[in-house]
Amino acid sequence: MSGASWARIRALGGKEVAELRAAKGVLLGPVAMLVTAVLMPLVLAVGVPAWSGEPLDDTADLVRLAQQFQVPGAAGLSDAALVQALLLHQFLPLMALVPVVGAMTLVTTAIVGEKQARTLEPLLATPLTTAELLVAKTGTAFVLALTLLATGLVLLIAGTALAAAPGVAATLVTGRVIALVGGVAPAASLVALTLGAIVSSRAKDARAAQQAGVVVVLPLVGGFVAQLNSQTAFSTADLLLATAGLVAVAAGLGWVAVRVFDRERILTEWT
Amino acid sequence: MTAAALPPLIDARGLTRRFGTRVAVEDVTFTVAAGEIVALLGPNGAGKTTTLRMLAGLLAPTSGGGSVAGVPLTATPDAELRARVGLLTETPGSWDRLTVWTNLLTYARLYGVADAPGRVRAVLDRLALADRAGDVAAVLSKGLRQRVALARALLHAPPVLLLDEPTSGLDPAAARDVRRLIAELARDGAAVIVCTHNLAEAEALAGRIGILQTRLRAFDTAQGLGVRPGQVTLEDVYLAHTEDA
Repeated sequence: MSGASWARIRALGGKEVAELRAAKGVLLGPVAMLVTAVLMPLVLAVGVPAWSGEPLDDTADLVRLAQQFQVPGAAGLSDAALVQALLLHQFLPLMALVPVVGAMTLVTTAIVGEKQARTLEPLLATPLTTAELLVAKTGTAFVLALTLLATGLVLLIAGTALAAAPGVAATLVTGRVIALVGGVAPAASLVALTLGAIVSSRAKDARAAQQAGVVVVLPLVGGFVAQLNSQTAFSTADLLLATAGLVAVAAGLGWVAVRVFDRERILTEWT
Repeated sequence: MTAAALPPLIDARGLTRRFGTRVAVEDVTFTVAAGEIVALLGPNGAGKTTTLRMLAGLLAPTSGGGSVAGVPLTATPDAELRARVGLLTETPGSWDRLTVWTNLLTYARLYGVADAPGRVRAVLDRLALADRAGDVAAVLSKGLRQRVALARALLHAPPVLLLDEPTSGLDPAAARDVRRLIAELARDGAAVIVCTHNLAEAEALAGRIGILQTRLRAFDTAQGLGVRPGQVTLEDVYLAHTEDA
């Protein structure tokens, strides 16, 4: 892409951010997801034992499960700390869903919103190409989704460092966790974005477009449940492989998105 | 040299556009020179907006071609064509949550205007919108929204202006201001096409008038179309060309 292309992408991206600032309600869903992903594991791992007066290491099954799970970086932790680490790690896939839900919400709102507000025709009348338009809209949503993810992760690590047993927070800064939140989550977010762009170019309602996000969310939830059932964790290699696969899928979907974004059809049906 | 004698900035040759089996525009041929204003008249659904969209590079002609500001009209309209056209769409299409300033600044940057803030200030001044720059578009009256949309079409100083119902819904004073501005822009050298249902406006503003009903039924000066003061009105001519369809 040329310098002029990037200038147009930046211009439209800046407008997307300005619109989000003016309509913060759009962020309510993703922020609620973020708060849940931070608070739920902390409440279960730290809050419930404290409030109930029943330490986690009182339950032999939990301790055995934590030992089997082999939390990375957990060597030398006490039984109670090990169980806390287990619970925090089991809920990490929830954190991976934050950028997926955020990206899907933002991109569908950005594209379908333009159609519903009948603001697309003047936009399409500019030199902006379809690829530039989609890069601007998905790129802005991607950056914001990653910002949400980073915020959530920092809050979770900080909350763990403050409230959990010593050494537990360090288990959240290991290769496997980085592969999950720094690899799988952004890559899944990219898949959600490109899928959202495809569906939004045909959908008449942002909510209908967002429902397509289930295609991305379900496999992640499936992985989450599989992890709980198999009492083991995906290895760093598994996660990196998944990341590569998701990036490849996102690239393919991005190619499709540019081709199915039918400017003429959008113009004649929506304006 | 008269406007019509200058080389045409808009050269439509046999423009045809079909949507499936429906023919929206068929074999439309005309030219518009620099500094000339042409009014396109026609009933709803006559193909006026489709014609403008083809000339603006938004829709590809099914057949036919020509050029706009030196850029060929092809089956794959490109960004270069869109960069040379200022299009006023039928609906204002402003981003309601954003201020007038942000709306225009974004478009100035999308058009690649050098010194975008300076150009936005100049256009706001020209359209007497400077004092509304900080207002969000949602609070503007219909007339002001239309002026903002017109400002947007002028940001990149395009040599060709395509205006779809520029005075629709405006009060008489606002409509007069818009007409004056259009005349000024033509005097500055722009080739202007105005689509309108307002026959008096077409007669007052345009050097030549086209009557479109899928095909271009007539295209000439008011006098050339047969308008005779006190005897034959433009309405008579218009109805004669459109009622038989």
